[in-house]
This record gives sequence, structure tokens and C-alpha cells, in this order.
Amino acid sequence: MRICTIILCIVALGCNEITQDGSTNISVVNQQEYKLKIDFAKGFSIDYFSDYTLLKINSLSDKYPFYDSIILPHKQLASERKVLPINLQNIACQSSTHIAFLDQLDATNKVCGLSDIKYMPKDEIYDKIIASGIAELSNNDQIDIERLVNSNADLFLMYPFEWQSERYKTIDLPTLLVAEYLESTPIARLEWLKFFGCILDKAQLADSIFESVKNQYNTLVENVDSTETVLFNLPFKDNWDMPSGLSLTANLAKDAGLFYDVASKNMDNIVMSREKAWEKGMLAKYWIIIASRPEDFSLTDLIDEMPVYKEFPSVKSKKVLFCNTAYSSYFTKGVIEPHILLKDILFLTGKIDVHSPKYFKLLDD
Amino acid sequence: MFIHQSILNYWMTKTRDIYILIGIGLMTMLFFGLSLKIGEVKLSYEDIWQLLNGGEAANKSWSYILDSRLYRALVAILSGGALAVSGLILQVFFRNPLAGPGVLGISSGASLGVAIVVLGGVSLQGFTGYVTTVFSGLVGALLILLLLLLVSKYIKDAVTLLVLGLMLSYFTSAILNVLYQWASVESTREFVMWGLGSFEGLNRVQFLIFSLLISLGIMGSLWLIKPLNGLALGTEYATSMGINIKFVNWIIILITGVLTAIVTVFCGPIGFIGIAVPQLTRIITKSRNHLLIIPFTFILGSFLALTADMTIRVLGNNIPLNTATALIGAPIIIWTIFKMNRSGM
Repeated sequence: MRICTIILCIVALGCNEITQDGSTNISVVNQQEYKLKIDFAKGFSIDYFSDYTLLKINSLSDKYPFYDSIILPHKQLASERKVLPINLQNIACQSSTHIAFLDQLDATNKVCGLSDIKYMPKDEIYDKIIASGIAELSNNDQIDIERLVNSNADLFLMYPFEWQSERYKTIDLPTLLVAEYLESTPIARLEWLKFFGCILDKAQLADSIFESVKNQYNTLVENVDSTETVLFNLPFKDNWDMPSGLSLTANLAKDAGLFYDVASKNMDNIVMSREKAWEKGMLAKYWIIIASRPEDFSLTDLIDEMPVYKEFPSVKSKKVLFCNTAYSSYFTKGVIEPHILLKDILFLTGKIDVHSPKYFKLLDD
Repeated sequence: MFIHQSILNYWMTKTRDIYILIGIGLMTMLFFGLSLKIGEVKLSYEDIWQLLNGGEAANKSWSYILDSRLYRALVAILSGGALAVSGLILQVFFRNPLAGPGVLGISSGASLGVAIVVLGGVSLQGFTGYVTTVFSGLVGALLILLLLLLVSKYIKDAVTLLVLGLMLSYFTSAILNVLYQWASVESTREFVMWGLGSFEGLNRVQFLIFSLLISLGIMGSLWLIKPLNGLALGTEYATSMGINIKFVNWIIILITGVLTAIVTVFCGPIGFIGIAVPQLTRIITKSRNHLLIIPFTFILGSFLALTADMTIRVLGNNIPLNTATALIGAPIIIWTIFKMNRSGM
């Protein structure tokens, strides 16, 4: 009996988490039993073990490799690996897209800092975070470590761009990579809601929202019509970045029945010269532009940018689908509402009759 | 016999210089022709000829593509020539082979003028936007030049004046960074795109304004031939030639300011051409007569700018214009510094 007690004590001590100030945290994490299954997203995985859940993040590109993982303990646990802080209260985010996921799971109040708040669309999520007085983390286009520390975050959700940076190793704050934007379909991107559900201990809620949106999306999907050709984007100087045929945007258009004539072997954008894109523009029935422009941007303004546009069939027939990222919530709410994005495109291309577009509009004079 | 030999040498040198000038001119024309052909969309010379004669093409975009290539090449020719001539005049005026619109902060002054307008929310698109920006860029460039002129009365040392010009560049860059803080996303995007520098993107109207102003500046520089010949030998010599130095100073400020500001406003800040080309001219030609040096510098500047632009296009438009001009210009400037060091300047 005495031996058993000693063994139990040793095991208990061994599993205690050592907190940032060196004291032993003895509170028990009440992780749900609900087990999430990942069906579409390829950028993260969840593995369940008896004492903990392991969340792994990986790159989808051989060109830009990165990986990350974090342990979500079911009970007190000592580990050499990165452990999600017990009783997660404050989350700092590098992207407003992260906040959209958190908001969907009713956790906007946990956001304590965000990078580049001024670039956020002025939507309801913006109003919420401004009302709560969160910290601006960015200074001169990069994360200011001092501001990050001062935000009192328990976890920093970040892009993978700086994943090996030494800057974050100098502070005692766990970071976690979020790369939902690399997924190839809107549904796969939406499935990152489960990732957030997992770290927020709201797995069941995340799963039910995901299933609901996914089902709504799938009922809308159209078959591709090869006559419904589409062109994407606008040039940056002399280069025109077209989305890969395997990309999220291309798949959204494909699900709306549009035909995107660009062969792709990987997820990387296709950089073509402006003149090559003009040639393609002459053959496309629709033109989808997701860009930041002044609020009252019109078809005339578009033609002012480049007179050749007035020759495009899409411009002549006023079939330019425009999403102004400076004023719409495309990169925030849009990520968790792919069914609305799809509906917008279907409506604007005449495939459904009744809908009030939220993210896209047809450009007019 | 001695006099006869020197006259012979003079004419031989002059003839040699004219042949070189014609050679570079022909090369520029060849590159101009090639630049209409080079691009991701393959246009045959038959297509180009047909389109230039107002014919129809198989794809409607081709006429726009040809227009775009044509304007881009012409803008490169005019910009390169204008910056080179501006640099030449400044080098004679400040009696410093390392002077140039970029080094003395004149381009930065023009950039600041553009920044105030663009980051203030005025779009570069449209006629009004362009006119406002051109005016603002011009004011910025002229203010820096006036400041330099004022300071040069008290600071005679050439190197000190160059350092002062560099400091002015840093100062204007610092103001630009401050302006960024208040700018909107769209304005910042537009300014960043402009700042990368490029000869492309001008439409017909913009090109007409651009070419008109540059032509006026270049014609004005031809009026400076005699004063520059005098100034090259010193202010006292120039005065003895009956040149009104004060008036010439103002004309020099106006011409170099206009040439630099117009190129900077329309094409973005472009480095190295303004300082390197006059040096290259002095390497190639031994003439000290600006009747030859000015056209020589203009054509050489045009040729190098066109070469830089073609380099960019051959490499798939993946390198910024200033990288290409630096690859060509920096070695010439380094060579000049070594030469200055050897001659104890």
C-alpha cells in the first residue's frame, strides 16, 4: 500500500506542468471527450492519446516546408514538447482571419492582440475587437515582440513565414502556426474551424458548424461548364498572378460551374506577364477580381487602370465579379462562410435567382 | 607642322566621336526594334508591321500589347536620356563627377512631392491626379535644388556637398516613412508600386504629357551648351565669356529639376543612370564640347535605359528596374571613384 502511494505520488509529480514562473500548476484541463475527424484539410492533423491530444501542423508545399505541433493535455502533464497553456484565456493573433474562426466559436473575447488592425475591414468583428480594446502587435509591418509580451497572451497564433525565427524563442510564449490559407478548397479551409475548436475546447461546436456549412455548400455545387470561362485578379506592375488551378480560389470558381483554363501541378500561383493575361482576358466570359480598391470603384475606374480592359468580353458584358477586400469581410467572415461566397458567384453568374450578394458584386459604370 | 598635326588630331577625334555616336544611335534603334518583339506573347514582325499600319490582328489584345511595348521603349529612351543629361549638367555645375539627381537628393525631393499627393489620397490614375502629382514632384525636386544651391555658396567642398545631398535623401525618406503611418491601404499600395520604378504603364495621354515635358527640358539643355562649356573651365572663365552666371544658375535648376521630376513622377525613382552615364560619356569621348557631349550623353543614357529594360523583360519581369540600372551603373561609378582617387580629387 505504501509502495503504491509512493508510485502514485511520483507519477503525479512527473505529470505536473511546470508553468512559466517555475511553479507547478495543478489545475486539471477539462478537455472534452469529443473526437474530431479531419476529412478535407491537409495542413493539420489531430491525434488522440490517452493523456493528451496532439495537434500537428504541416506545410502543403515542398518549396516552403514548415511544421509545428502542440500538446493539448487531458490532465496535468510534464513534457519537453510544446504544451497548450492550461486554462487558455488570452490569444494573440497575427491575422484577422484567425479572429474570424475564434469569433465563430464565440471566443472573440479571448483575443488580446492582433497585427495590423488598421487594415482590417470595418465589419462586426472589427467593432467587437475595437470595443474590447485589444493591442496592436505590429510595428512597421512586423510583429513587435515587446507589444506581444505586453499583450499578456497565453498563445500566439502566427503565419508560417517566420516559423524558425529566433525572435519568438527569446520570449516565454507558446506560438502555433496557422496555415489555413494554403488549403486547396473552401471546405478544407473551413475545416480549420476544428483546429480552433480543439484549442478552445469547443470541438463539438466546431464540428457541428463545419458540418452545417459544408452541407449547405455541397448542395450548391455546380458541374463545370467549359463555355463559362473565367479570368482572375489584376496585375502588379508587369506581372499578373493567376491562382493555381488547384488553389482555393480556382476551386471556388470551379464549384460555381466556371471553367478556369490554367493547368497547374502545384499550389503555387502562376506568374504570367501582363500581356499574356490580356490575351487570356480576351477569351474569358467572366472576370473575378479580389482586390483592394477605393470604396466606389467602378467599371470605368477599372478601364482607367488599363484601356485594354474595355475589349475584354467580361467588361463589355459587365460580368466582372469584384470583391473589394478593403471594405468587405472576405478575408475574415468569408473564410468561414464559403457557402455565401459560392452563392454570390452563382447568383452573379445567373445560376441562382434569389440571393443578396455579400462579398462580390458586378462592377458597373 | 605642329599646328597642322593638332588640327588633324582634333578632326580625327571629332570624327571618331561622331562615328561612335552614330554607332550607339544605331544600336539604340536596333534595341528599340527588338523591344517591340520581345515578350511572352509572340508577335511576328508581319503582325507588328500590320498593327503599326493600323491593321487588325487575330487577337484584339495584340494592338494594346504592341502599344504597351512601344510606349515602354519610348519612355525608356526619353527617361534614360533625360536623367543622363540632368546628371551631366549637375556634374558640371557642382564641378563634381559624382553629382547626379539621385545622389544630390533631387529624386528624393520629387519622390516626397509624389508621396504627399499619393499618400494624401490622390490617385495617380486620371488626368487631374497626374497633373497634381507632376506639379508636386516638380516642387519637391526644385526645393531640394534651391537648398543645394544656397548651401553651395557656403560649402565649397564637393564631397561635403555630396554628403549633404545624401543626408537630404535620408531625411526625405524618413518623412516618407512617417507619411506611411497615416496612409490608406490603397494609397500605400499605389505608392509602393510607383516606388519600384518602371518604364511601363503610361497610356497615350500620359505619354504625350511626358514626352512633351522631357522634350522641352532637353531643348532647354541645348541652350546651356555655351554656359556649360564655360562653367567646365571654371566660374571665372565663364564670367569672362560674358555668361550671366546668376541667370544660368536658375536655368540649370529649372532644367535639371524638370527633367528629374518628370522622370521620377512618371517612372518612379530611378538610380544610377544620372550619375553613371556622364562618366561613361567622358570615358568614351575625349571631347569637352557640350555640343557633342549633350547629345552623346542623351543617346548613351537612352541606350543604357533601354538595355536595362530589355534585361528585365528577358528575365521575365522579375527584377526591379533599379536592380537592372544598378547592375549597369554601379561598376561605372566605382571605376570613377578609383579614377578620382588616383588623380587626387
